[in-house]
Amino acid sequence: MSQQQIILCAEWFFFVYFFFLNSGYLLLNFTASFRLGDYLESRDISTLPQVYTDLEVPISILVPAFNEALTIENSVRSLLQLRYSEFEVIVINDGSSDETMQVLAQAFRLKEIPEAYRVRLATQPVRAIYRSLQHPNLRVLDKENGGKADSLNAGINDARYPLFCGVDADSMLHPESLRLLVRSFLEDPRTVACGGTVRLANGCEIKGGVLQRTGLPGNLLALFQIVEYLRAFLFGRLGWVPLNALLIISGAFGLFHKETVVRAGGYRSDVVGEDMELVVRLHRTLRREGRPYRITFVPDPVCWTEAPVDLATLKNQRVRWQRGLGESLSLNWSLMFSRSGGLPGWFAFPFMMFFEWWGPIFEIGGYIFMFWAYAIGILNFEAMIAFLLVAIGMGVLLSTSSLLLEERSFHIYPKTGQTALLLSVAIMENFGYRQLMVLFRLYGLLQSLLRTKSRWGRMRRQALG
Amino acid sequence: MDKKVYLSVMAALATAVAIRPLAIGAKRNIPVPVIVLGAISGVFALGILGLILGPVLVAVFVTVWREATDVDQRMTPDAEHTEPVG
Repeated sequence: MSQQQIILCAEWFFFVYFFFLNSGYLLLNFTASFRLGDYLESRDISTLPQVYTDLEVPISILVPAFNEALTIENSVRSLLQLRYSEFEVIVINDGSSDETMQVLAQAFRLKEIPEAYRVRLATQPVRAIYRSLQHPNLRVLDKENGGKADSLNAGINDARYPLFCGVDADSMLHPESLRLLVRSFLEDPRTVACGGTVRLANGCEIKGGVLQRTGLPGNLLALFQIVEYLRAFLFGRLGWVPLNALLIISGAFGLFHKETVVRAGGYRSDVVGEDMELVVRLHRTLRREGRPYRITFVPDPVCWTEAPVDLATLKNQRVRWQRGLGESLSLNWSLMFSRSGGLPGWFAFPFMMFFEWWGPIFEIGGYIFMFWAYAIGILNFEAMIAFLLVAIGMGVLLSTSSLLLEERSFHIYPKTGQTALLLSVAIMENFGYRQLMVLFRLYGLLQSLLRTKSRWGRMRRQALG
Repeated sequence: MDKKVYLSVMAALATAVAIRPLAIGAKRNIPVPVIVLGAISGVFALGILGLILGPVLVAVFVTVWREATDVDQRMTPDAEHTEPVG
């Protein structure tokens, strides 16, 4: 092949890639806005008091805690204040080496009880189960260290109610959050999982574990992330819901049907993103069984968490996400193109693979190719500017339209000044921040490729031996 | 006379083109839109021959893919492997 042909092929490749990427995002944009419209309409009726109160399904809240002595008391207290008819809080002390257990025992007057504990998912041994003398719906599991997924599995074993909800100890739930999420289970009995929107609490006023007033942070990095979260949750999640092809539910807050999760094997303890992996596996196993199911998502802001404000932490977070995404996809390959794959197998999975998982390679490759072509004089200046304008313009369009949807629907930042600030941030993030995130993700991708190989090797040995 | 032969060949070709993708789709359980996409990209890559070869290649790829990933799946912990213990 001559150089000319190679260049032609590369041009076509990047053209087709960016065409599918952008049309995919536009499609998600459309489905998300329609879905949001429907949702807001139905919400007006169903948020009237006591529409569903008597029908609410009891929920077990699982709180894995590892060395959280400083924060655990406050987070448990705020969870106990949630507004819901019947729920239990199960704190799983994952073999903490600090005073987590003592703090809990003192704050909630824990007493060890000989409880029947049915091991349905294999976990590290549970040392003891405690109950609170103050709060009848609070229990604490003391187990040996095994990681977050292992703790969640132990919590599932101990949970008494049909639905469970894994909560990050460092995130803060809206008092109505359980009610908002459980509604999708009531409206459609096929629902097996429901995610909630996570927003950033940076700059907000928090008192006693409850959000008092929303605000915007002064930190530019946090502002960028606020716009990014808006975009990710409105399009990246809500857009997939009408297609029933949502592959990601944030680990910070999601509600699951317990029996379905147990049948699928619970959380995997050998992956970075156990929350993502579980959802993809649910799709795979339920599709194979041919059982009708729905995995859905509630766009209301229900969970607040703190965003990293320095580059090093942010980089770590992105690398972890990228690795988690890679693992969740590569451990569930057989969902793709499977006989009963449907939209998740034929559309969402390949989309996630090419545009989210391997996306950084192609994006960076596209930029490098273009500058190289310009440098050796194949591409003229106008063509390069046109390419950059389209790439950045699409980004601006997506960020600003998610901002618009947010303003139209939930309007959590009430002041005009805040909206103007967010708008300028939405435009600014396309010059530098987005590219930086792509670089971080590329780093995570390379790490995940190397790690996946070594694990496959290990598993093969196990299968043979 | 020549024109008639030409027309009947075209008709036979069109039938093969229209029926074949659907037949493959039904047999290997591949969604029709994917077959159509295969036919379109086949035409782009290989010309008129791609109309038939495209869907066939897609079907072959999907079948091989399913066989290959099925092995992988057996190695991952699944519902069958973590039966209730107690």
